[in-house]
Amino acid sequence: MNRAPLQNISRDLALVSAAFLLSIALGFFVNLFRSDPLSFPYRVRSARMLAGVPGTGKEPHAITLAGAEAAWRKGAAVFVDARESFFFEEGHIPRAINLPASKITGKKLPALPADPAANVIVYCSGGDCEDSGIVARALLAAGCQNVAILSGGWDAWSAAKISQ
Amino acid sequence: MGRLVGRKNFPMIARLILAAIFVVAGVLKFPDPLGFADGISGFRLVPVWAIPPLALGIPIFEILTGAALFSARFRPAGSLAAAGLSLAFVLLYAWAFARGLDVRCSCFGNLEVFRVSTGAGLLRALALLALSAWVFIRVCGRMPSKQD
Repeated sequence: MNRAPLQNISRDLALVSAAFLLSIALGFFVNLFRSDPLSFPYRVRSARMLAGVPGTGKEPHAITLAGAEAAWRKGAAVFVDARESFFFEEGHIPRAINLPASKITGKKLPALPADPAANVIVYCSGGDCEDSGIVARALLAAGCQNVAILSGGWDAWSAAKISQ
Repeated sequence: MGRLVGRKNFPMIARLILAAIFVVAGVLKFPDPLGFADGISGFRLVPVWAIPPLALGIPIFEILTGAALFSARFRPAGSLAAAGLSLAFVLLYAWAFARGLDVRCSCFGNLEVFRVSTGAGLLRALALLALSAWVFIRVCGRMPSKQD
């Protein structure tokens, strides 16, 4: 086995590692002078968004796919898609409105349905996504009284191939 | 034009394309570290404490990688870094795809046109890995290269 290429690669690996560490150090240094620096400790997006939603003491309840489908067939609930518009455009529950969690801030709460007592069902991509919880809490804070989160989200709905 | 993109020049063109991809990706991510940090956290694989160093460092590292691929002296290191980054992107997207996560690609900053679904992102990452691996083998397979 030719050793020269291996020696070269180990030298390059050391160089790449040094460049990576230097990049991180430089990144932290540049961050000191940014007008909008990355703050520390970093808080994940959902935590930052929830911090902007006033607390109500109320929690949204969960609704099963069967329950959501029944409400959808009767037209008995407003469906809110909490995913980013890009994913909404790729596919969504018919008649759902798109209210991405990223659009929720403490100053701008989502518009209420005409009837505050209307059933609202919020969903995002799947069972472990956080955006539906953020939007549901924002809707509760905005005065909606019956807010539910669809268990399994869009993944469960699309997998069930529910048709009109 | 046909002669310029001929077989002889193809390795050089592939390397320059790879270099340009990394430089553009780094430059576009650099102004928005928070957006990139959110993109990384969307994969739910990296611990929270590791997100700021990566969000601040990777854009600069990508620019350095692209610059190294353009240069003659640091070309092997650049091709190694490009292959390593591409492999990391593939693993990240494969992880997200396997878990069914909807992740927003932050590969090119906030360029709307480059927002892709997880499956398409995985395919694109695999294409980048194939290109990077090919350039790496070409560059490091014959170290004292003077042709490309």
